[in-house]
Amino acid sequence: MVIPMKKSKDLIENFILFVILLVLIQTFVEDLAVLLGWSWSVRKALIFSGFGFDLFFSIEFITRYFNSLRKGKALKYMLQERGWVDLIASLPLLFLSSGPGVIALLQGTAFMSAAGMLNILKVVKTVRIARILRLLRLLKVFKKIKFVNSVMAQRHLTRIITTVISSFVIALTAASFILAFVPVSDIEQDFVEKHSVMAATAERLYENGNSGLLKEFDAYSSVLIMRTSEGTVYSRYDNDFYTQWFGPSDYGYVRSGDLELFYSLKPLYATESKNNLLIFVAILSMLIILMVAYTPHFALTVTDPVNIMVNGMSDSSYNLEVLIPENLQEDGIYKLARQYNEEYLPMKARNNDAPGQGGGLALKVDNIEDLFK
Amino acid sequence: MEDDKAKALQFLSRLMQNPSLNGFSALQREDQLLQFFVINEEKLKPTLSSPAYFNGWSWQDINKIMTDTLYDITNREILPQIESEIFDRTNYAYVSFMKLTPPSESMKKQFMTMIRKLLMVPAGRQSLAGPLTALRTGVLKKYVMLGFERQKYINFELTKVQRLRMPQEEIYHLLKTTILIRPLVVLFAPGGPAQGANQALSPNYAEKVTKQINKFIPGLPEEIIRGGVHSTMGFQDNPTLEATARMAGIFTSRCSQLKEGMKIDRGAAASDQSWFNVARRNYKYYGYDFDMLTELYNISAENGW
Repeated sequence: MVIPMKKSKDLIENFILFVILLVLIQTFVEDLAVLLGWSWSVRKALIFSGFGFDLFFSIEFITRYFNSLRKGKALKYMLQERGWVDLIASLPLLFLSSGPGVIALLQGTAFMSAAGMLNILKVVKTVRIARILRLLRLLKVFKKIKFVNSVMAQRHLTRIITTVISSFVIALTAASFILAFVPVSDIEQDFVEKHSVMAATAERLYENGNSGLLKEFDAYSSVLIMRTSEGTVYSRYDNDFYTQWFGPSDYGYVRSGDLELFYSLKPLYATESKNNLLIFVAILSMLIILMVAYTPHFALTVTDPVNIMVNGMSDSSYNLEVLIPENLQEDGIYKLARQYNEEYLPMKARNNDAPGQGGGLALKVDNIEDLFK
Repeated sequence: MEDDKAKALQFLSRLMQNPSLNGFSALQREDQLLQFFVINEEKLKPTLSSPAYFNGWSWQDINKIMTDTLYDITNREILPQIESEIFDRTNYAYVSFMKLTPPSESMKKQFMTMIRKLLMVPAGRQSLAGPLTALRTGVLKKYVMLGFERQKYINFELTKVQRLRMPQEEIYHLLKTTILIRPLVVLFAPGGPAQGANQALSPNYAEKVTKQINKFIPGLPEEIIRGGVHSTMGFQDNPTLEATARMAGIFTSRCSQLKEGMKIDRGAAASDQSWFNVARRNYKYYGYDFDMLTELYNISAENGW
């Protein structure tokens, strides 16, 4: 059976919409998992699924772009059909966020090969900042859902929502990238330096034969493992615990002399995730506020009067006036509505009543075409 | 012949089911269909003169059978309503409040005979649409009652100027009679019934029409008939018109265009409110009483009608 072209296109669009909703949930849950310290297997699954979604949207963008290019409408797709949102919410994420993350996971070394811990953290931070761009996918939902019963209202509201949210996300991303590379003392630096000092202290204690005192590091929850050439001299948890709750990218590493210190980067990640969740909630709130507060406002002050005037001008038996709010009398649309109320409707009434005009005829031949079959 | 009528009935029934005719009264719908046949003759002719309907008939014959069938359909719907209004639902006790000769028993039959005569004239049928809708939908009653209770312009005009010393219920029944007499003017219109009542009546001619109608309905006091005839006259040219005549004129026009169950779009004024406001701007053209329209507009706006 051949599925009609439009039907199969609708099916694909609905599937993409479903995937967009899934990826929004995935984005939220992935940050929540980091914040709440869920097991590594769950977080790993979420990282892989994030990569899968990024790959999917990258393919979607490339397909749409080349399809529009083939039709000579690439510019229209990129600018008018908001292909730029598809672009920003796909390829950069694949190359800057989930791609590197998955590669690191597959290598099993996370970012350990990087030059210094601070640089590693900057890369990690950059990757996480890029994740904010995922929130732009919320806009893809608006591109596909018809949420108001007017093409004009839909276009205006989508434009406003796109402008507000993309400005917010892009500004935030850009600012975060810039700030990530500004050489100022920040939490990450303090965190790394603190563990360097701890490693030096631990090494001294160990060199002086006070390895028993290493137990004192229990008070610092981020300190996980200390290792020397003789083997592990301190471990907060057993191996099963590390396997279950820690992934390769969760470990920070510092060496002092013969002593290697492995510490947990989870507190830093949790802070980042908390920020991401805050941004996610802020964007969602903006969306809801725009939809709840602005959509009805636009409908009441623009779409409704226009629809009434269109009905009045196209339906001969429609004679309803536009109600003009006192505080909006000076709006162009209501000035027009006043003309419609005061000039057009009275003229139409007189015209309908004029003998032989056939005015007020509601039944049109177009309405009864089935009678001629 | 019966077969032809059945075909016409079948075609008309399909037309009447069209959603664009929803909300129209039987007479409004009839008028819509008659206009539709006139305007779309060229498009309808090939279908209606095909073997499926009236093979080879002239348009004149087709139009006649369609019109006759349509009249039958409408009459079946409206005659019971008119009979009920004249015989059962109108209380003529207001006549005694006006210190006039009480109507005779045969008056109702005389009145009904005149209405039947009116229904044989196309323009007469058109002119009945507004009054019947005004009565059937209760539009007239609700505005008369509220207009009376408000103790403003309408009340003043009815009780002080026209000096109707009677309860509001009786005034309503007087208005019912007035609004039903009004279409009868068509039968005596200058130029004959076919011309309809489009031409404004002069006071002298109105008086002649009153006498003529009174000849056919002698059981009804002349003053009542005069009110009905006056309702076709413009207020600007005749500032002494009875308040009941002015109201009957306004409500006949309002209800001839009333579309029941009309969806009020968000941001639009209600149906009556819109109509009265538009009528206020056209009051000179139609000869309406501007102050009366303003009060009716206020009533509709206050009640969301």
